[in-house]
Amino acid sequence: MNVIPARTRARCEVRALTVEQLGEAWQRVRACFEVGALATGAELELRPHGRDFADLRQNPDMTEVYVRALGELGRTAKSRHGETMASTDMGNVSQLIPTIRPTIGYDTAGAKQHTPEFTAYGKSPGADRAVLDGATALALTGAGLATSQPQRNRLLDGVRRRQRSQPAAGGANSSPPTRADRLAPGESGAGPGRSRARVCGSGHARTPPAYSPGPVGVPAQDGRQAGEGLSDGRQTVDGRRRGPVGPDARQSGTTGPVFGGVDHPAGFPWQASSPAAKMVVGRQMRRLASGVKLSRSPGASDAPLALDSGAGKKGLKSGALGLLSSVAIGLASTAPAYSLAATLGLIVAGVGLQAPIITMLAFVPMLLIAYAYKELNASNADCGTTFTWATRAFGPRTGWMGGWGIIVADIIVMANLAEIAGIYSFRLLGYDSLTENRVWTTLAGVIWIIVMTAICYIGIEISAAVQRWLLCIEVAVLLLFAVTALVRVYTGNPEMAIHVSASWFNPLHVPSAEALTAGILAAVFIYWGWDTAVTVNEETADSTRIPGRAAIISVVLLLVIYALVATSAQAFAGVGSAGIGLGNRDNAGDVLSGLGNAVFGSHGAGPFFSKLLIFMVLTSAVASAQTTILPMARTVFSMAAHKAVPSRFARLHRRFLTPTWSTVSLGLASVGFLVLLTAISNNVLADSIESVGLAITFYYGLTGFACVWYFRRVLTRSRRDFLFKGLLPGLGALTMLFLFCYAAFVVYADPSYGATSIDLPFIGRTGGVTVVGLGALLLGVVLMLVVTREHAAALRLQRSLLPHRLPQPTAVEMASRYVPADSRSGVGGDWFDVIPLSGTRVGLVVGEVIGHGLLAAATMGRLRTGVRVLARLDLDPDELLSRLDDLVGQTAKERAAVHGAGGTGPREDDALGVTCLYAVYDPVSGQCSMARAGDSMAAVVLSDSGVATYPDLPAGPPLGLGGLPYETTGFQLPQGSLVALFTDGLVQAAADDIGVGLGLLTEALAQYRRPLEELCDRAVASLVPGPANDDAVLLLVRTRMLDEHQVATWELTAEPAMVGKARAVTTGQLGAWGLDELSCSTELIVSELVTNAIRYAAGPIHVRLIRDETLICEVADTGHTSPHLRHAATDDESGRGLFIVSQMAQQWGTRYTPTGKTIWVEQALPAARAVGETPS
Amino acid sequence: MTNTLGMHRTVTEAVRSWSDRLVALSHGLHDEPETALQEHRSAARIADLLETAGFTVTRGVADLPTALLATRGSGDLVIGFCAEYDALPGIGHACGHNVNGAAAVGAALALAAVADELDLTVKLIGTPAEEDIGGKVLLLDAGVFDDVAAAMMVHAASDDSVGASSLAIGAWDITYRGKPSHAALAPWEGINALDAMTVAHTGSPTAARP
Repeated sequence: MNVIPARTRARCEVRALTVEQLGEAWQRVRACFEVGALATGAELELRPHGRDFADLRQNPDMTEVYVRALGELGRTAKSRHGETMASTDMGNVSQLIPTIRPTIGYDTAGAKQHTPEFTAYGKSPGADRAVLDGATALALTGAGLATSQPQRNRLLDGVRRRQRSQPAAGGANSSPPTRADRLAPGESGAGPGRSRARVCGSGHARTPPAYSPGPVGVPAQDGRQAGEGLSDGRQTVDGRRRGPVGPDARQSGTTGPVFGGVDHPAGFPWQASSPAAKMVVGRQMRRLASGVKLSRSPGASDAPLALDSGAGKKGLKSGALGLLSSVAIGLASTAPAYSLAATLGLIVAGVGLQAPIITMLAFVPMLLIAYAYKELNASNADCGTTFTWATRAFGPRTGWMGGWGIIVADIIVMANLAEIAGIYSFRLLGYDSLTENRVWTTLAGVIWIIVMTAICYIGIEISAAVQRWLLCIEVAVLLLFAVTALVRVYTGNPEMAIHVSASWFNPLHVPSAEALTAGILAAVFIYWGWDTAVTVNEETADSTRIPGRAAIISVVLLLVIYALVATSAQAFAGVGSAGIGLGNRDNAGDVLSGLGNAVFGSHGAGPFFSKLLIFMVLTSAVASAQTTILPMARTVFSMAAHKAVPSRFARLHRRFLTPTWSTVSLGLASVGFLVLLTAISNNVLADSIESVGLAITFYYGLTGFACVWYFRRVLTRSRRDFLFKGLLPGLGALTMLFLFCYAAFVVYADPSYGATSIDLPFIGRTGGVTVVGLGALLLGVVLMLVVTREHAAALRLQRSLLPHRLPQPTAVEMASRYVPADSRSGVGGDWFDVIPLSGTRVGLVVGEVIGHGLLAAATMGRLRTGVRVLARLDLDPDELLSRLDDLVGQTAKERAAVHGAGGTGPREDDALGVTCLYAVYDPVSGQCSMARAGDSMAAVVLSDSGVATYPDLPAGPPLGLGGLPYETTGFQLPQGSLVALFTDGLVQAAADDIGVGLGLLTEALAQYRRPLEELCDRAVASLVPGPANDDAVLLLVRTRMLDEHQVATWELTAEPAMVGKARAVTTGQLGAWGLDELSCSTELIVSELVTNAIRYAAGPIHVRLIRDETLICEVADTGHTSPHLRHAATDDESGRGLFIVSQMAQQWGTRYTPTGKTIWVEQALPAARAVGETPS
Repeated sequence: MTNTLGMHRTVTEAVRSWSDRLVALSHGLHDEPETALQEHRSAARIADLLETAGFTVTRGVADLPTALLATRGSGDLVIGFCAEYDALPGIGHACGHNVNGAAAVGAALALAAVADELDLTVKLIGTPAEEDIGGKVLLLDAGVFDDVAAAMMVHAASDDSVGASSLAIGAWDITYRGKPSHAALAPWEGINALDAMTVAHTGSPTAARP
C-alpha cells in the first residue's frame, strides 16, 4: 500500500498469580505502551476489555466434602493444590464466597481444551457420565454442607459478614478492584509529549472495603502482608519506611504482555516487582503448596470456613451429635443401673449405713478428672483423648500407654458386660436355667458384642439414637424404683425398712478409715464411663465445648441418680445380711433384681415392673457395651491417625464416616478375649474383670497429670486457669494415683482378694487381680516398644541429622531452639544450620519441610546436606537457593516419573514446598546478605538502635515450585547486632495472626544485650507457650566484627614485579602478628597465587590476610577461570603452584565474586596463638 | 438428626430420574454452540428445563439478557450453582461448557429434591460469557451472589481434579493513532502507528516462567 500505517490496534492480556499483582504487572506493561507513543509520537488509547478476572481460591473444606461425594460415585479426584490453570471469572466469585470449581473428567484422547478435538468429545458417553456424576457430586456436596451444623453455621456467618460489610451499595462494592481503581491518582494521562493515555472508568480507591480482608497469607489492601502489623513509624533495616507499594516500587522486575484471545490454558505468573508483592508470591504459593496448612483467621470475610487446628480433621462425621446425645452417650456408657446393681452390695458390706455418702464421695475425684477432660478437650478436641493429651504433655510413649489403658479397660469390661447382657437376656426370657451355663451365656454375650459393634459401625447417629432410648428406659425405671421404694418405706413400713437418717451422709460414721478407702475404691468405678462423651468430641456439633460440658453434666447426673437410688434402696431393704438386705453377700452380684420383687410386689403390675427392672439391667449392660466400643475404636483410630499404631486402623467408612478397622477389630478382640478367658478359667475372667479398676485409675490419673503439665505455663495467668487447669485436675490425678497404688499393692494384691492368686518370684503370693491388671499394662509397654519403633527411628534419624553442637565461629555468637510440633508426636521437618565459610564468613540456615515423621526427617536431612554442599561453593544466597530449588524440582520430577510409570500415580516429593532462608554474614565488612524461599523470616536488632526490625526480604517461591528467581537483600550490621532467623511456626504458635507473634518476638528481643540463651528462652516461652501444631525453629546470632588489626589488605597491579612486593608485605604483616613461624609457607602461598593471577588474569590483584582462628590468605583477581589442581609430569614447566599451595594449606578453595574470583587458603595457627592474643 | 442415608438416596435418585433430560441438555447445548453474550437459545433451554422442575426462573439478569436465575426452596442457607454455557468462536464447545452447564443444572435439580428437608435454597445462576467479559463479574456487581453462602460448579476436563488455582487476568484494548503519509515519498510527514506498537511489543518485559 505504501502508506505509513495510521492506526494499529492490539489486545493485551496480563496474567498474574493474584489480582493484586495484576495491577503491578499492568503498570509495567503500560509503561511500554507509553514508550511506544513517546518514541513515535503516535497517540495512545488504552481501554480495559471486560473486567479483571481474579485468581481462584477453592475452599478446602468444601473441597473435602466434594471429594468424599465424588468418591461415593467411584471417582477419585486428583489434588491440584498449588497448581494454577487458565483464568476464569469464577475466581472473582471465589474471592468473596466459599467456592469450589473442580474439574470433572472424561476421555478426550489427550485433547486439551480450546481445540476442535476437545469439542468432539463433548458429546461422548464419557462426557454424558461426567454431566450426571458432576451433578450428583455437586448436589451431594451441597447437601453435605447443609447437614453439617458447623459448616452450615460458618457458611451462614460468612453471608452475614459479607452483607454487613457492604451496606446500601448492593453488590457494587463486592467485586475485585476495577482496572481504573488500580491506577493511583495522578498516574493516568501522564505520558509526555503527544502521547496520551486515556483511562476508562472512574474512582481511585485502591480496593473496596469488602474485598480487603484477606486470609492469612494474602495481602491486605495496600499490598502489605496482612499479618505483619508493624506500626508505621518503624524503620526497616535499610532505613526506608515500610509503606504501601508505591509507584517507585513498581519500577523494577519483569512483566510481559500476552497478545491474543482470552483463556489460554498456559499462563505465566508475573514476577512481582515490589518487595511486599514478592512476599505475597511466596505466601500465596506457600498457601497453595501446603493446602490446609495455613488456617484462615476467623475474621476474614471471604473465608467463612475456617480450618481447625488439625484436631477434628480426621474425617469422622462432624456435627452429628448435640449436647443431649453426648450426655446420653456419657451416661449410658457408665451403665448406672448395672453399676449400682453390682456394686451397692459391696459398698454396704464394707461401710454399712454410710453407703449413700460413699457413692457421693466417690463423685469428687471423678468431677476433678472430668474438669481435666473438659479443659484439655477445649484446647485440643481430639478423639484420642488421653492418648493425644498425654502425648502432647509427656511425649509419645506415655501417650501410647494412656491409649493402651483405655483399650485394656474397655476390652475387659466389654467381656464383663457382654456376659451380664447374656445372663439377663435369658433371665428376661425366663430361661433361668441357662444363666448358669457358661457356654450359653458366653454365646449370648458374643452375639450381643457383635450386634453392638455393628451398630457402632453403621453410624454414630444410630448409636446415639439407640443410646437415648436405652437410657430413657434405664433412668425412668431407676427413678420409678427409687420413688416407689421411698413411698413404701414411709407408708407401708415393710419388714426390713429403716428411715433415712442424717448419719448416712456423714463419712465420719464409717467404722474405719480403711473401710472408707475400700468403699470409695469400689464406688469410684460406678462413675466410670462418662469420658465416652468426650471421646466422641470430633463428632459433636461444637467439638471444643459440647464434650466437656457433657462430661461434667454426666458426672453430676450420675451423682444424683446414685445418691437417690442408694438412699432409697438402703431405706427399703436395710443393711442386713439376710434376705433382701443390702449386706447379704449372696445378692452382692445384683442387689436390684432381688429388691425389685419386694419393692414392686408380686401382684398387679408388680411382676411387670420386676421384669422391667431386669430389662433395665440388661439394657444398661447392652448400652454400656455399645458405648464402650465407641471410645475404644476412636482411641485406636486416633492413635492410627497419629501414626502410633498401624495406619489401617485409621480407615473410615466412606458413607458412615465411622472408623471401620478399629471398630471391627476391637469388637473381635473383645469377643476373642471373652471366649478365650471363659475357655481358660472362670476365675481368671473374674479376676481380670476386677482388675479393670487399675487400667481406669491409670488412664484417668494420667489425664489429670497431663492436664496440669500441658497447661503448666498458663497456670499463673488467672485464678480460673489455676483452679480448673491446675489445682482440680491435679488433685484428681493424685487421688487416682493413690487409688491405683492402694488397689494394686494393698487391696487387689491380697492373695485372698480375688478368685485366684499367683506365687510370684521375689514377691510371694499375690492376688490374681493385681497380677492381671499390672500384667495387662506391662503388656502395653512391650507392644508400645514394638509399635513405636518407627517413631523412635524417625526421632533418632532427625536428631542425628540436626547439628548436635553448632560450630562456634568467630563471626557470630549463637543460640538456637527447636520446638517440634508435638501434635504429631514430636518429629518434624524443620532444621537450622550454621556453616563456616571461607574468609571467616558464616552461613546461617533455617528451613522447614512440610509434614512430619520419618519421611519429613529424611527429606530434611537431604536438604540440609544439599545446603551445606552448595554453601561450600560460596554461592550468593539467591544463587544457592536457585540451585537448591533445581535440585528439589529435579528430584520431584524423577519421582513423579517413577511413580507414574509404576502405575501408582504421581507422588509428590516431600521436599516440594519447603521453605528455607539462607544468610551469609561477613565479619570483616559487617555485611549480611539473605535470601529466602517461602516465608521463613528474619528479625534484626541493630546494636545502635536496639529496635527489632523485620527486613523486607523478597520471598521467593518455596523450593521446587518453579523458577521464579530469588533475590538477595543485603544490609550492614554494626558489631553486636542480633539476627534472629525463624520459621513461621514460631510466630504462629501463639496466635493465628502473625502480627501478634512478631509483636511478641519484638518484645522478647527488646533486651538484646542479654545472653543469647536467655533471649532464646524468653522468645520461646512467650511465642510457643504450649504445644504447637507446627514446628518452630529459632536461630539467634549476635554478630561480631573482626578487629581491624586482624585484617590486612593490599591492592597490587598485575605486573611480575609485584610478586616480590606481595612477599615482602606478607612477611612484614606476619611479623607484626608474631607469626614468624608461618611466614615462610605464607610467603610461598602468596607468591604462587599472585603469580597465577598475573599470568592468567588481568586487572588489579587484591591480597588479604586475616588472622582469626586460622591464618587466612586470600588473593583476588578479575579472572573467572577455575583454578585446577594438577599433578604435573616431571618435565612440565608449570602446573605445580596450586599443588604446592594445597600441601601447605589446611583448607583452600575458590569463591567467585561479581568482579572475578578469590582463592583462599587457610593455615592452622601455631598452638596457643588463637585470636584474642593478638599483640596489637 | 437428618437421615443422611435417605438423603443421599434421594439425591442420586433425582439425578437418575432427570438423567435423560440432562444428557439431552448437554447435547442440545453442544449442537447449537453460541458464543459469549449470544447464548439466547442455550439460556432458554436451561430456563425451560428448570421451570418444568418447579424452579422460579428469571430470564435476563443485570442487563445481561442471556444470564438467568432460578431458585427453589426457602431455607436460609443458599447454595449457588454456576452454569456456564458459552461456546468459543469457530470451534464450538471446545471448553466443554455444555458439560459444565448441564452438570450445574443437574446439581440444582437434585439438591432441590432435598431442599426442604435440609432447609436450604437452591440457586442456579446462569453465567454467560465466561470466555469473554466474564458474566460472573457483572452478576457479582449486580448483587446476584449476595445471599449465596457457597458457590459451586464443575468444569469439563480430561481428568477429575480439585483444589487448583487459576491466574488473575486483565485484558486491555490498545489503539495507536498516528498520521498517514506516503511511505516512499514523504515518510517523515507521517506518524507510524505500527512503529509505536512494535516499540511497545519489543520493549515489553519478558515473562518469568513459574
